[in-house]
Amino acid sequence: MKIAYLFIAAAMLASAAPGLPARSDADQYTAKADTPTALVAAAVIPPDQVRNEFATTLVPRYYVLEVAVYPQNGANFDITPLDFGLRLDGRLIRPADPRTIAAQNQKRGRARSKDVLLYPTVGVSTGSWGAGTNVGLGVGMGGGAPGPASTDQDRRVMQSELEDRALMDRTSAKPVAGYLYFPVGDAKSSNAELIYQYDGGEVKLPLILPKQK
Amino acid sequence: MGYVATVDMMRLNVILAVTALAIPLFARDDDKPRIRLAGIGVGMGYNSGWGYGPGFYRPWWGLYDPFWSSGWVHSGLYRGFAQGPNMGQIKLQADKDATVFLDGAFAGTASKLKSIWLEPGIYELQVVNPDGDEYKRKVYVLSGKTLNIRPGAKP
Repeated sequence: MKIAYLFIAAAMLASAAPGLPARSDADQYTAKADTPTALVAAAVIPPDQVRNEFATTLVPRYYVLEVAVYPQNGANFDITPLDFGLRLDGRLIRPADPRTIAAQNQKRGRARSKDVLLYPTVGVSTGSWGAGTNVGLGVGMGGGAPGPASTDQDRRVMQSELEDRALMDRTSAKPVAGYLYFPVGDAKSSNAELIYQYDGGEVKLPLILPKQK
Repeated sequence: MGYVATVDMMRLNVILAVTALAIPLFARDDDKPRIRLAGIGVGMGYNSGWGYGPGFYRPWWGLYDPFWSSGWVHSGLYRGFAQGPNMGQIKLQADKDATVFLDGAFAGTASKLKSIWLEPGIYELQVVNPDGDEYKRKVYVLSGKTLNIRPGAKP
């Protein structure tokens, strides 16, 4: 009976593993490269899709890459996000941790309470004293009210959202996939390379980065 | 300005509409304060009589001072010029006869749930069409953010 419980628990853990299902064929990704023990494939997620898919604000600070690893020969394969890097404009950028992204977004949201707010107004009045139209402009500070996605609960939700779809540390003999979030910011060039480093070498996957608008 | 006219106290103000649309302009995504359009107000008023006193209200000049002789008060004043409650919004574009469930509980029909405001959190959204088609996904609601969801549409 205990063995049955263990089996069920293991199955539940496996189904709850973060990430995405790997596409059925590595050719469905934009780029791919072979290593001695696995095939690595990747595709850039267009900014519009990122906006639609994520409640967390990622555009334009982050490029989201869907990365898949197909272990070869049925052997277990260790996957670590930090083995990946994005070479762009002469820089090698490592993927950002979901916890860090969530914390930074929360900080930015809090800063919104210092914004200057404008309230343009129009009105008409009539009466024995005459009729007239009125226009006005109210100006106020943010009033200390929290900005969007700035509470601690928001941070936890953002972190969960990013982790649920991320390529996280794991060992697998089956194909796995997930998102990596690269804090690129303003990029001059659209030509980038996803670098995967493994024991004794590295492979490069050429990618075209779309404009972040 | 040696002479200032104001309206009399016998004023019948009818505010027809005051809207605070809270339209933040997220042109940039950095942590610096910026100037944002926070709302638009529209109103109508009625006045009678006239007198002297502080303030500026000369309809024939088209001048307007909101602090002395306004026919209405913008709702943003009462709200401290801040955005609304600390909730997030889901905009659902589904078949109007579809049934909506949140975290497994019946939430209503899509025709009455085009806009759903929720506390920040992770929810299981399920939309069941009359023909039995089912759409299910985890939604992440953040305060002050709007999620547009079209069941069946690819992201």
